[in-house]
Amino acid sequence: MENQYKLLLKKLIKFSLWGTLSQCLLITSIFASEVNKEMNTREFLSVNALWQQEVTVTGTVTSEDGSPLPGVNVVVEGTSQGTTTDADGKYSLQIPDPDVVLIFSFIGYTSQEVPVSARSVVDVNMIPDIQQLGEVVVVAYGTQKKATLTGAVSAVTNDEIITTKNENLQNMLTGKIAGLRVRQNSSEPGQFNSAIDIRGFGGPVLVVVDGIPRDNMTRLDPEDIESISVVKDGSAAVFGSRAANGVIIITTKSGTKTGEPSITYSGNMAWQVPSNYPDLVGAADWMTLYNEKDRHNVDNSNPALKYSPEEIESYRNGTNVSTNWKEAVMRKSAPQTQHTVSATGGNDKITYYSSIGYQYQGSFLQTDAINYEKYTLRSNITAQVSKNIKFDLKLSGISDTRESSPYGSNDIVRAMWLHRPMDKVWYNEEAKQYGMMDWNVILNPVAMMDKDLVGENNYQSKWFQSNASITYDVPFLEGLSLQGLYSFDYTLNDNKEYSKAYTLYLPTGTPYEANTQSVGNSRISRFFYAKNASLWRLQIAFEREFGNHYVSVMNLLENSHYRGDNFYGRRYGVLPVDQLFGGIAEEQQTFQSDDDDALYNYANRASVGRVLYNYKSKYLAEFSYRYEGSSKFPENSRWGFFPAVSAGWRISNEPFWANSTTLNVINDLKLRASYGITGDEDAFAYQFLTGYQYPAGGSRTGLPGGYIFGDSFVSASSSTGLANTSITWYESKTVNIGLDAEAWDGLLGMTVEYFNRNRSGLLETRIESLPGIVGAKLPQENLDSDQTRGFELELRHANRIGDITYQLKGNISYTKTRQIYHEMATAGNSYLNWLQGRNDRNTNIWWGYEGNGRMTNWDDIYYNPVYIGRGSVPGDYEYRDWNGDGWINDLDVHPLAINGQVPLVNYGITLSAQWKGLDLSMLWQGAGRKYVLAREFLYQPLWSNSNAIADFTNRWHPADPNADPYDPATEWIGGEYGYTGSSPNALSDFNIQNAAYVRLKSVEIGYTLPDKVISRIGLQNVRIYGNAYNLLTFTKLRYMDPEFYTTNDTSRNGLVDLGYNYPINKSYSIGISAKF
Amino acid sequence: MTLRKILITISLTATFSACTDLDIPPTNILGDEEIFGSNAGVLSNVARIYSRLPIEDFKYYYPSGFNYNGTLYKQMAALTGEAVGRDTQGADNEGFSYWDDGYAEIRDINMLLEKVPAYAATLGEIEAQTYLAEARFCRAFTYYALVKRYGGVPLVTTTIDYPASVDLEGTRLFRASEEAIWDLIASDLDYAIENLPEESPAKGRVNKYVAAAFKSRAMLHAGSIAKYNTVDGTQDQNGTIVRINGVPANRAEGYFKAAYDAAKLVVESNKYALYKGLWEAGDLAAQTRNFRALFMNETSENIFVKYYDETNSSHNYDESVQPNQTKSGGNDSEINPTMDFVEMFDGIAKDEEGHFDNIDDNGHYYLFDSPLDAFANAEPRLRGTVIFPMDTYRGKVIEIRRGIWTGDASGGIPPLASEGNTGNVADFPDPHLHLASALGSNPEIELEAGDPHGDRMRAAGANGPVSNWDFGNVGGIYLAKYLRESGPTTGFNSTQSWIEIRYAEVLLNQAEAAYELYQAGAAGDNYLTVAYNNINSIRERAGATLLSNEVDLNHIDIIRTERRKELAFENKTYWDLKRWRILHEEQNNRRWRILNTFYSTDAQQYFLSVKFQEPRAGFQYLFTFDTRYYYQPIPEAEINKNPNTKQNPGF
Repeated sequence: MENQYKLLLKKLIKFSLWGTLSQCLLITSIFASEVNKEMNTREFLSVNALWQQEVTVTGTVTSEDGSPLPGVNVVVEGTSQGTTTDADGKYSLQIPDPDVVLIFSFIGYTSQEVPVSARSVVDVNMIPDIQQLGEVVVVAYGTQKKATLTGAVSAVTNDEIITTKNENLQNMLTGKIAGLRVRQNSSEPGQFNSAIDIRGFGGPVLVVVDGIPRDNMTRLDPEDIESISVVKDGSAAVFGSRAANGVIIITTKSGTKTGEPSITYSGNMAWQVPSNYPDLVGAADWMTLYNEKDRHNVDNSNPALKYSPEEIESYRNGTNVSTNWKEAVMRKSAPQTQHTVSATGGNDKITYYSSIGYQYQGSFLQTDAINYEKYTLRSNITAQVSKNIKFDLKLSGISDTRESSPYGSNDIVRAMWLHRPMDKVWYNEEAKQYGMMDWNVILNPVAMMDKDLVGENNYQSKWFQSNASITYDVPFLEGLSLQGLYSFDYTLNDNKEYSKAYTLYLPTGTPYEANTQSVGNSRISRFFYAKNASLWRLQIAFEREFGNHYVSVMNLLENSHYRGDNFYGRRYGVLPVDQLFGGIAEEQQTFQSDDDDALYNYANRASVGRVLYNYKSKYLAEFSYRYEGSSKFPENSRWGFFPAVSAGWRISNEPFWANSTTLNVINDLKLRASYGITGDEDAFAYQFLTGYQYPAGGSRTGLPGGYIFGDSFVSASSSTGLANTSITWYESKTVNIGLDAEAWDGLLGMTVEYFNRNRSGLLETRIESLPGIVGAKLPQENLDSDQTRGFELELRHANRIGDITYQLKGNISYTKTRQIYHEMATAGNSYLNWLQGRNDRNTNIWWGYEGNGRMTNWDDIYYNPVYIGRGSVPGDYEYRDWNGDGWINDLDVHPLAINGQVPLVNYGITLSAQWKGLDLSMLWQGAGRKYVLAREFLYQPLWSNSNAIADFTNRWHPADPNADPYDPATEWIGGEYGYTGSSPNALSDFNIQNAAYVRLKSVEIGYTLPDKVISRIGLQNVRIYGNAYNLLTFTKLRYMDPEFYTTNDTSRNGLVDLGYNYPINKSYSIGISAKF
Repeated sequence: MTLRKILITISLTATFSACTDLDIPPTNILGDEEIFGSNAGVLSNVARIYSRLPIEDFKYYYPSGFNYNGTLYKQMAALTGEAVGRDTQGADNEGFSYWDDGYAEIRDINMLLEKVPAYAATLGEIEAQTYLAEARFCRAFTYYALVKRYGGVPLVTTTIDYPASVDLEGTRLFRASEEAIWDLIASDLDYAIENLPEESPAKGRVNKYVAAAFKSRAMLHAGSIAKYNTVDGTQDQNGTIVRINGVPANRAEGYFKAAYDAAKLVVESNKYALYKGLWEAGDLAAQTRNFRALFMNETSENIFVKYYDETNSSHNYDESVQPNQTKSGGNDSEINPTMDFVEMFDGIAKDEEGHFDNIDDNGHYYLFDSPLDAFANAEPRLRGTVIFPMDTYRGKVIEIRRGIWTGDASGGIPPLASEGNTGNVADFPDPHLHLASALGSNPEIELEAGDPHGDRMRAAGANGPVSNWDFGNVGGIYLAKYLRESGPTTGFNSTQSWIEIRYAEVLLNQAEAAYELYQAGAAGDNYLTVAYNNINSIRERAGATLLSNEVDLNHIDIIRTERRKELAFENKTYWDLKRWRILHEEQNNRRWRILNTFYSTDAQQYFLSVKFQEPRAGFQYLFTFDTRYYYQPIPEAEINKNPNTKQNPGF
């Protein structure tokens, strides 16, 4: 053991040494070349310069139209010396050397580097930033200039993020970054239920916040975010171990050395309404549909109708009143609000950004039984402790609370939809006695959200996240720095579930006891989860320009340790006390979950290195690697090496290009390519061991967690099954080829990317190939492989016409995944192999029946070329006899559509425009190649004798409701759906709907109050705005929101999978931001 | 070079200082030592094995499997004609394959067999021997569940050491002959009988006699297959022809003898007896109570029992079987005993064909003040097994009624158009007949002045049957066996113990084996006398008519019928009908007959109509058993994974 440990250490050392050495070699070779000379001379000059007398330089900064520009940052290059321009655009600055370079920067304008060249007055005319060449992009462990970037990295800044207002940061990114695919499944407060992935690579996506892998992206306050970068290709290899699906790098704001300290408030109030949520029929329609369904029986087409015309009419004319369950459960709008106060500022010695934030989201439920509240606190401080030592401290705390009825939103929504309009909310409203339907055991949804009656669940989470680092700029070698970083994150979940027994009343008055416990009449459960992550890192970096050569080298060691623990307690209560102590001791439980995500302890250790080189910013090259060990794997297969290499060529920097008048309309043109290997350790831990699990999982109702011997229950131990002693990382190899172009001085920008990711060693058990007679639980093995390919295109345009400046940005991406190999046995015949095979085939193929129109008259029925059911009526669905055997059966099933959860095509168009104080931004976002399946209630009217959605009234039916549908003389009225009782095959393209859509994801109109008005009251930069989220949607999908979740996997039958989901929100907000 | 030195120094310090050891021991995996090094540890593993034994108890759901965690809409009793159910629409088969789970259980057992010997000294020799014998019993029990479904299956008696010493090809075992499986069961049980203690170490665990009792069941089954099976399946296994379906007929006598001897061991131990705690000679009510109590209590009759409790393991039998009238939410009425079942019993008026006699010589219905009067003299075992209309359960009169007839009864009531018919009563228009289409629309019919039942009466009573698809009764009778008289009636709140083997079965096993041996002219005991005595002791306790002498025991059907009556609704009959290979004769285009109780407002009396199960929601409830299902298909996936597994004939 000890020896092993030493061996590992040696291996790690070897690798860090190897990395360091190879970088040293590179540097020395450069040193040895002509650079050396130049370096020496330059070094001397600058050292001498320090001794020279300080001089003062002054000047005026003007905007593009010649007016003075206040607030422009002026900094001496390479130092922290600087100032800002005053109200007249003037500045005055002491400079150490008449030959320094001044950097002028201001938001919305291109930074300019102006050599002073011994002048005492330097006037500058700022140029609006309509190109993005000067941008710096945050990449893994550092930043890079966008101009010389060789990997596929897209970034958005705070301004671009906050134009969309939503409770979940992920939804605020929808449509803004090519290849970042976000799909909102629900807007239930506190659930943050969105699917997010990069390029269709799947999940989980590694999210790095301020350099540390973290799991709380959804909870971040968007106001705190400086920028978000998405690393989409092999250049993610420096994050190797978890980067196979791409990386999202989030950087929070930090203080600035220049500029007045300021306090900013920004806040908004929003009203949410459900987006595309189906309406329900009233009793009159319900009864009509019911009668039709009754009639829809060829053997007995003329039964006594259950509901007489008089009874139906009584609901139509208002004598009897239907219950509108949607209105009984859901209110018209729900409130939402968000406020952030931040303070920022700084000087040469210290800079800071701190903020506090508050967010509240109410639910559509009438009682607001589900709601969410969040407090955030952030403090980012950088201190220049001495000339060479910088100390960085970033602290963040989040505390949130989700309140909920003990019934989930899915239960409430399901009950709301399945209750019929004749069922009553109240049995006796005055006595507060809720009604209960008599045809099935579905509890009253209005009672379910009455927390006084049924109890309450409360979910609290707290995050504490910190990282502290010290950076030492080695004084004797310019560009060399050392950094040590330590991070400690702690997450606490403290959940309480309190559910009470209560009584509903059947229409007859018979009480129905709901949620009774075997002991007592209530149940109190407490759950505690504590998770902590610590990480330390030692980094050495060298960055320097030697004439035409730019070199940046970085090497680091990283160590991380993750631990999770939990326990819970449960008691039953007799008195209405919602505390554990109030429960009784009989049948109380304390327990601990041993789920992989609740109880864990694992560690990683890595050595990371990177070398960047470019010549005249024209020939670009980068090499990086990560060598990592994970405690999840056995000693012999624990370590993985993940290298990446990339190169770029800025063709526009070649003389032939720059000198050609035809070619140089394209101001910047860069061709780049990258190749990288990343890995993933997303395997269950300890599969290399075999042993026993105790107690074996089980439940009271599902058994078998044990067995009763004597008079006591003996918990069982179960074998963990076979071991895989060589389980290891799977590998993902990504090629990316990209092209960046800027033309006509920023009028047009373009980025095109093509990518191909091959994964091998994907984890799969041999469940489909090893005979069942082995009888053991199987471990995952590195067996499968797949390939994901696609492209992205981004176009940018910015211009100024008169007083109007505007920017347009559009992106589109397409991705497809193919399974190369899947471990499975070969079926007995070729047809079955075709049907079940998965090897070398696109994933997510939807098999089903192809529709062939509708039977519109009796001739279609009498003379139908294929066998159709005896009870067919006009309006019934026809299917294509795909194999031509004269009848429709399983053999006609063939690929119909794509059934992935996230659309294959995603696009977004952002428009922003400014005119004087007014600004407008719009995001149109859309998706294609996405299909959904309606299930149960959404699929069939009166499913299981429940309610029906209003759309189903648009159906084929006899003009006279009393006519016999099987009488050829009966006159029919056509419609979208079949005669009630005729439902299409659930897996046919009548029910598989195209969920392609385009929607106005967000639109914001803002007005910045004129300075002269507000400066009197001590304010600056006051902006008011109105914003709408999901305002308009264009889709062919019927009665559902195109992002609404139902699963296409018909073997999954959870309420969520069946579509009994809380709606997606559409929201309208007004807000203000002001600076003090 | 200085730079290099710095880099190296930093790398080295960093690596050696705060490094985390990547060899982190798991928090939730125990080793062999922890499990097999102590009796508590082994017992936890033994508990695992017992918990997954394929016992067809309250949690067995034939569409999905064992230990089912859901509503039991379909009941095995509806496959045998004992009962009808709303959701069993015709002769049905298991909707799952007991294959992977069976071999997982066998692996656990084999592992215990391999591990325990090394720890015998620590555990105690006696304890270790008991564990090993117990494991052999469980292995026999599991193979029995496999062989009765599939015939010969791969014979696995050690843990297959894949991938360490066995490669993928090595896991592709052929199916053993069916005979070899039965013989393995016999030898495992012999080992268990030999090595298990006389008394169970704890309630719920097996002992010598549990093994013997089970052996009588298994060997009786083996003998039946040898004698009655007609499906012959063979496989050429590298030149050797192996009979994977069926057993040579010449083995029948040997298996019957083994069954007989095993049962005899149990009988002669005198450790068990038919429960007669509440029984009194000649007192039908006491005998009825006695029979019901048998299933609710810990009695001398219990041999092998699976226990439940409220906190850790419970079932929902009461919810499934509960009369609609006494339910408090959830499901109900899934088992509705048939008249075909009722007519097997004594003490009921029957016509020449043995059918319940409900129509008098004038062609009119017999009229009763209470439907119960028709069954007043029925065998107590029947009254102990079912709830007839207007019987009392949970302190309530269980009002099962199909409808109310308001016609003139002065000249007697002639048979309804639906009497004996296959359709739904609602399809035979009769202006005097008042039915409910659903329990929610159950019309109240006005009664004539002076009716002892008051002013009004609901057409379908409190339970149905109703005309359309709905909750409530669908056959006219409810089941009482195993049903509690108190406690929650909804959800998973039932804790009745499941008696997997009771003494009555052993007596019946012995009687059947004895009669088969007697017919075969086997030497040994006086088999006919043993069979006669056993049947009569069962009948005596049941309150049924006794056989007057041995000569009366002149057909195997007498023993079989006794078995069907005694063990009804205990999930045994289905396999009996299969091993006798008579299920296809029983279910050949057959509809089961049900009891429809009607009230005549004019006569102010009830009449009982017998008809075929009513079609509902388009389902015809017509039963035809496909003979190929005497052997169930081996799962297709297994054949794909192991092409050496030959499929059973007909699939």
